[in-house]
Amino acid sequence: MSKFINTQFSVSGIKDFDVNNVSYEKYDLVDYQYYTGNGVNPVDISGLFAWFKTDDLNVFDFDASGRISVWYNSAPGHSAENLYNYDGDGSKPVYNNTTNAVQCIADVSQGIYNQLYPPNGSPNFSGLITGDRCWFVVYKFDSLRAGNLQAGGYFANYSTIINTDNANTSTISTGFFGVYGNNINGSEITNFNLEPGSQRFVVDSDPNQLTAASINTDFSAANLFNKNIVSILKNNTTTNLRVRNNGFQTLSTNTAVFFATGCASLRIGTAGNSKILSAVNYGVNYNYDASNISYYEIIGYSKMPTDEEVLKLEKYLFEKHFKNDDNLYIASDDFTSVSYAYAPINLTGSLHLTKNIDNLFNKTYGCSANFSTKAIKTNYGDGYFLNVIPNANNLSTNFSINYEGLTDKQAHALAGYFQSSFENEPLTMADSYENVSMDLFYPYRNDAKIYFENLDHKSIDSNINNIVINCTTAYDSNLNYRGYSITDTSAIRPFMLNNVYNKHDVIYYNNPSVINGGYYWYTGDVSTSLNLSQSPTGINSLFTKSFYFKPDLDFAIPLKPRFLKNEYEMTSVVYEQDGINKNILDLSLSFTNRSDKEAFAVLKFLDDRCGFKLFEFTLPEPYNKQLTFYCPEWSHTYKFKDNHDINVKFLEFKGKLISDVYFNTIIKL
Amino acid sequence: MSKFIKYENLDFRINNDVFYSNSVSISLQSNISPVLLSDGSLLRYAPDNTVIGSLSTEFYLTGSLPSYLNTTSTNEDSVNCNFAGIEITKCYLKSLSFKVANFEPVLLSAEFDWYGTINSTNSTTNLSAFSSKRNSQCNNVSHSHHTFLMDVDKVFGFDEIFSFDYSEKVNLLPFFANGEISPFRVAKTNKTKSMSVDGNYFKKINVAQIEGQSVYCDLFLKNYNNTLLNTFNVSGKIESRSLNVSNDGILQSTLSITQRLTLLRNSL
Repeated sequence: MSKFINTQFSVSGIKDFDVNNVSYEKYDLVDYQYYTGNGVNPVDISGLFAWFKTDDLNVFDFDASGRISVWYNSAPGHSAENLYNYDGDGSKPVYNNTTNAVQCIADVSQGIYNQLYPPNGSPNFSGLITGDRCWFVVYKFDSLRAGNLQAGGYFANYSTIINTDNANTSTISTGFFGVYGNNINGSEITNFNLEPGSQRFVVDSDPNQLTAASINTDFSAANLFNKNIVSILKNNTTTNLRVRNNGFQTLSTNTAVFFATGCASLRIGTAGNSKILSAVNYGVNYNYDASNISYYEIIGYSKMPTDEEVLKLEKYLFEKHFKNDDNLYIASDDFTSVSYAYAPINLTGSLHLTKNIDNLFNKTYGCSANFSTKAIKTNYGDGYFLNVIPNANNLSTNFSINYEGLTDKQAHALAGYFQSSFENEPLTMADSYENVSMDLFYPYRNDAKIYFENLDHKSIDSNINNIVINCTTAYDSNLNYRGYSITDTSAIRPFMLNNVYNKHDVIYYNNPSVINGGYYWYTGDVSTSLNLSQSPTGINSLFTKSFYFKPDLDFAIPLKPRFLKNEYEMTSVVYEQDGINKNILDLSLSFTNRSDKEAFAVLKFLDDRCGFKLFEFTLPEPYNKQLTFYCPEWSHTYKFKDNHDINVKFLEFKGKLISDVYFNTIIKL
Repeated sequence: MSKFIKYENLDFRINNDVFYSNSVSISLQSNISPVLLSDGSLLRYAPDNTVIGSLSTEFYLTGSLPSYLNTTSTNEDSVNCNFAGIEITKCYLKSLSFKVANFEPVLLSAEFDWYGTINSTNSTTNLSAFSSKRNSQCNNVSHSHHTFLMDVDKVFGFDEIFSFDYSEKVNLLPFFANGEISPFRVAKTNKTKSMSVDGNYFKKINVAQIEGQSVYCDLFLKNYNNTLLNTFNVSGKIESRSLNVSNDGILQSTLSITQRLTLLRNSL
């Protein structure tokens, strides 16, 4: 176990990840470390001849269209041995600044490779034929399971790791090593050995006959994960070729079997195999629609490193490119770890160890949310004021997520997970630790980026625990037309004529006018198919932007007129008028026991109003007057199925709706 | 003319085990609240909680007590109950009790809460055949004849025991995932066992010292053939003791014992 976890966490019993036939039970907390030793800087291992990294943009040459034409080698003394592409624009990869990777983009319409390759005859790159070589490649690919419909059927998606490169006549060899996928129907025709819906490493002795590329038992055990550190290790003395994927050895074979004349080169890209035109592949020369593949770092040595050097180098790459993939995991079922395939960064391990708590713990009734605006109120006298919005994250949002009825083991796991979230490494410059991605509760967004704030644990009885996690979403913006925290597709559907709408349906009316465009709520009791006059701005419209929801019967409306009370010395108190607009209402209203649909509509309304935007609301009898309000605070509790409580605070605004202009991100739906 | 179905023999089953049952009753309780709006209109009746069903039955034990009738065990699994041609799923036991008195068969009472469904069939045509267990000879039913209570620490102080009641109860705590009306877990809390023992005069001199007085007793429930059906035990404290006498009556003393059960968390 990492020393930090052992000393900093308040829960005990955290198990180390181990591959030596160790059994884990569901809800065990498991500390996963890639390798318990330290990483090593690649230059500190002798024999370094290739180091392609993305640490800064100086390592690239871009052509006029911004595509990469050269990826410079950062290995000391090998600055001339770079990866190139001087072909047409469409075949060059791009630099993706979001992922900080070299991205080879698949595009069947281009009909050309998208790749980088070493120069002809580059001795270090082609040296795999004759000497000890090893490569460490960090890459990530999109799903290989899509397939591409071409003449004759579906062709699999695949990407090359080692290219046999028989187009390069000076280094021609026999063999192929890559990643390969089959679609879910299993209908791809280019490799019959691949199970439907799978994606795997493929090694083949014949680069031209991928229809049945060899997948031996050990090799096929290595189902692919989408993010990989692949270590390719060739011992020329023993003619042994080993391949490790995320620490798990996927292949140990004789180079004479699969690479009879050695492997020529390292070509990276989307479709860099040398599959030739033949009857087998129905006259299709190449499958250019291989999946997008991104490369983060490539390191090569002209020697066979020791096992410890391999681990240290992989650790270096893991720490650099797999942030927050180590440390605490929760076992999602009972399993026994017998190999490194059970590490959570491998596909098999990811089925047993997880950091996703949504599928492990039931959120229970009583979940609640609180919203309040950060608006700064400036008073102008006479009841007039202005709300200044300090930033795009206008709302403070706090969610209380209930996890009731937890067993002791579940509570232990959840408390440990909660604490581990504070140890995440940052992925951006702004925060010092990364947020947690998890689902909120109805009707709020799934896959929210949240920060835990505190955890309340209450023991009910032996083996019965209730936990409430209070958290916040930090990066929601009121500039997004989709909304703050209610972004469900049912709420952002555009208005369509002739559609049937029901009461409390929410639609987005795409109109260039700030006043007329935006969200509307359908108030009609009877669902009906609408015509043009019944559209949101039609004369017979039953859509509204007003707050039409009726509060509970037991409401209170305090009237607190503003006045001046002067107390002069030696005389009685004097009451004086304080300008106009004396009655500025400050209401607290409740909407209890509301259905899912009405609660959704109310909350979407408030979400859309962002805590400062104005709306009209008709006071209930006996007042029955329409006034302008904004809602700076509201809260919501999910009480039971189809039962929600909502409390709102409305402040009256003495102004006109039409005077307000809001920025809206939508350009076109 | 109204139609009635008369049951001379009741085919009551738990998890398909047949019980020699005298009676079964079920009821349902909804939890709804009216929602009144500010204009005085009634919006709807909102569900505050799920519909909770109750099932109670009385039966004679004709074999060993099955483990799912151990109220205070750590097992939280539900059972299915069948009777009168219907099946009720997700039943959770919350109490089991019985009284042992001279010359009487022992009738056990069990109460369940249920959160599942009733699968109804035509009860007049789909009655399953009774098994031999249901048509058991009277000698095989739980009976007071050989059933006895052992006061291990000898603190009762009675000269003779007339009868005793045994009861074990739990409070059931259902937990629901958001959007669900069927619980993902029904936990047991406040587990208690209690006994009430009726006897005659005291043989001991210190019977008034009941504060904190520990009691351990074993209860051997047997059938008329002296076959042990189940052993119950209570390891608790004396809760109360009384002595009653009236004209033309007999002197009768009562002792009640209670035990609160809890689970050592490190044993989980």
